[in-house]
Amino acid sequence: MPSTHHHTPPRRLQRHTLAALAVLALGACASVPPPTAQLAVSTAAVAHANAATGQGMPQPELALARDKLQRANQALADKDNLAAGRLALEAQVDALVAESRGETNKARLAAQEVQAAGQALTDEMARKKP
Amino acid sequence: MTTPLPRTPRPALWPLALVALAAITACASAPPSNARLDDARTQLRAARADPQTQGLGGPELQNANAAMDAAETALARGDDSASVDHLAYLASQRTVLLQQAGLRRSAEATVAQATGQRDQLRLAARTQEADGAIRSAQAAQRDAQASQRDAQGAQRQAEASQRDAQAAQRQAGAAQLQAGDAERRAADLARQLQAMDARQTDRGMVVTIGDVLFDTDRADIKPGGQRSMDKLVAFLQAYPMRRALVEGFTDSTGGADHNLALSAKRADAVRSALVSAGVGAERVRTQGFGEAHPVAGNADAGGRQMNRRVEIVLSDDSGLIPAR
Repeated sequence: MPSTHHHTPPRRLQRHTLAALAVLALGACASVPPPTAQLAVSTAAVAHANAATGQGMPQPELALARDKLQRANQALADKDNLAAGRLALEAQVDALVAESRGETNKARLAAQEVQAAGQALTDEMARKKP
Repeated sequence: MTTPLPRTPRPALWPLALVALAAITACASAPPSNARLDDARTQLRAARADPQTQGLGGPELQNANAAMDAAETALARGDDSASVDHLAYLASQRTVLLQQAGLRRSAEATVAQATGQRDQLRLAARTQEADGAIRSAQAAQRDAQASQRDAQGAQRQAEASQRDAQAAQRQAGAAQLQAGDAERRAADLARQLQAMDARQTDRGMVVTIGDVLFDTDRADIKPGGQRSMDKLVAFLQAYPMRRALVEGFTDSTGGADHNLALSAKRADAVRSALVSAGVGAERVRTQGFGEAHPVAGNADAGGRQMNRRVEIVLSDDSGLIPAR
């Protein structure tokens, strides 16, 4: 009996420890799940920005977004879901900013062109007047 | 104040201590701050105040506000600074997106405005060209009208010229008729004068009637001379502008005074005959010359017969007869 009496306390401790670990692990999993959806969104945003700004001026934010996307994937591989999610989010907005700047540049160039064309037309008309 | 009452000081210190503690706690629980969030907040405030972002229809403002709210909430909740930094970064980038949207809209507005101006300018240019074309057409029309007027004027002139030519032709015809008239009259005159044996002298046409008119020493016209008188009357009646001067002459037989009177009497007899035949008395004058102005010698009978004569000098249409 004494033997059995000795056996029980360590088994109980083991069970409690396992349970606690499991709870801890579950808790960790529940708080930061792998940001796979966000990574997909961010990857798509970077690809879109890459295509959109490919012809125009190189945007520094695009390089930043690519770098962060890569680091996000690395963090995911390292099971650092929190960092992966943050990096993925930042990569997305960086990509959006890069694309937005490209579009703004295009619009500005178009405005300059049309203003120059209008000026040319005005000059031409002034010249044509008898 | 406190020393005279030794039992009161300790209880009075407790509220002061509580106040101090409260103050310290207040300081400690003052809103936590994050430098990146401060920057992002300032940046967003400026972007929202920028006229270029006013009234933007897109989701940019909403996204930026939401990102800023998330960061503020995390900071207020006491999240770790890495988390707040991350959310502040997101808010900051969303603010950049808002600013870019504003810049883009401004540029697009410029494009639209410039395009509109360019269209107006093109329209004005076309209007200018069209006006020019209209002016050219009007000028061409005016030219055409002027040409038409010129043509009409020329036609009128041509018609007037034709009328003038016709009138001239008529006048020419009339002149020809008149000329024919005058010619005929001249021919008549010549015929009549020829019939009266008239001859042309410096004083005009002279008709000489020999001694057939009168018997010797007589002053009344013989019936045989009446034919010559009839011709003379007819001539004077046909040419009423012409006048006559009747001159009487004798041969040298007899006294000169007698002969002079006799010649005057004979000239008067001729005049009387003309007037009684209807010739106006004022158209006929007379003069006797006696033996003067013989046309032949008085030695023989033939010469004397030639000297016994009456000469009638006929004026031209002016009615003037120069004196002998």
